[in-house]
Amino acid sequence: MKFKKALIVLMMFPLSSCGSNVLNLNVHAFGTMNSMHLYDGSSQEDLDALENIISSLDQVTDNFEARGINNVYTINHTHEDVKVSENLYNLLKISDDLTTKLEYFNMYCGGLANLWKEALETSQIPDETSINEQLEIMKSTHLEFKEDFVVQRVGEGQIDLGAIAKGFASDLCVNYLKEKEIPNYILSFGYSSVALGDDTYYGAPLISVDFNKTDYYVELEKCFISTSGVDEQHIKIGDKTYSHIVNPLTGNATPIYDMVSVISDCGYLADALSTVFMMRNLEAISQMEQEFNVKAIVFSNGKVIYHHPGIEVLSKNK
Amino acid sequence: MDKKKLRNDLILILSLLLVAVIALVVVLTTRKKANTSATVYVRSEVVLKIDLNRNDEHYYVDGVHTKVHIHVKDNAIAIVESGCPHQDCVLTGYVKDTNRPIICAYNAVTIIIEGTSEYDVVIG
Repeated sequence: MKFKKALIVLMMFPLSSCGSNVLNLNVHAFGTMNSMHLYDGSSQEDLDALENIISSLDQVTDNFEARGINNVYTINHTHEDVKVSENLYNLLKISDDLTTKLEYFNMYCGGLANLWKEALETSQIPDETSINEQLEIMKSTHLEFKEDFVVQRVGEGQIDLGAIAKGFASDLCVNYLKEKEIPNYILSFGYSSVALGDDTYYGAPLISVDFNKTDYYVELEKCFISTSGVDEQHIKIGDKTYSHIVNPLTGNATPIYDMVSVISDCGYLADALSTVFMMRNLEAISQMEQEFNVKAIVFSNGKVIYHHPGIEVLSKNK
Repeated sequence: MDKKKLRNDLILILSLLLVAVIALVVVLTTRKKANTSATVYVRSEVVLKIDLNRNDEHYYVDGVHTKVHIHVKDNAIAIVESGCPHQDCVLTGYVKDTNRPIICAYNAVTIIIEGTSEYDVVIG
């Protein structure tokens, strides 16, 4: 009799595991679509929390519109003290730190980025004088960080957090999920910064990540992967490809590769370095992988020309 | 009496197994068929749900700046016209894969195909 009771109870488990809980959210932010997928153990409350985090960060990092709060646009249009949110303050500090540490990352490149944005729209390369002017402006700009989340811009450079905002957003979201002990998720920010949890509800040990318009994919878990590429927002003039990825040392917009992906345990670092690596040679990339404890995959002409030895890059053509 | 008890036990076990198998078959067969519909967003708002089985259908969506013309052909979907400056969305072409969203950043229009894909997520 005890055996029968035990058997009935045991049989309930396979029946109850036939379905799994997945919650999806698509939210427009950072000028693109961001897709959140939470598996087993999460609730609508968690999705709402993620939406709040993303929408809030989208507002404060906007450098095109004021949006009724103190944000990057506000800072870029004054030299007075500006009190900002804690998240924006932290992101600005991180960006300022990276601007100092990384030669090829500069948060004050907004003016230069706008110059090339117009170039992409009109198919006319900016002249040397305009580029040099912007480079000088960038060099003479910095932020003063004061108490109580107050910042003050010194110089005429325009802050642009486009190369790091999505990565930072992924960090905030993952921190929330960790606090709530939700281990299974895929968070995609504009399909360029992705945060991967333990696995999906399919129970597969790893999450498969497909590199768009290539023949490759990887299988990962519990990490962040960010990608920078020239596929979108580029023009060809003569034999050169100009993109939205601008070199803050030279002012040019001709990245070396088609696409670079960086895998890290830190979202904002993966995001920032994926842009930086687009402008560095393979030797420099390899050195920086060790320095920052990240792994890179570099694509050129649709092929993988370099990958960290700790990453297995798989072919879709089996 | 023992034989009867054993027979009853066997009937119970087989019945439970049968229920489990039927449940599995139902779940597998009623799971949504891959890639038969697409959802169109303007910013975060769902503005249109499109049946990809309806061949040669045209749809027009008001994007943030201009109208966007969407077309369904052979169970695939594409933005065929848009007033955006770069035309990246148009150059994306016809898409069937749920992991290949079509994005017109200028108009804040995103098309996501609902269903399953061979890979869990796309990047790049």
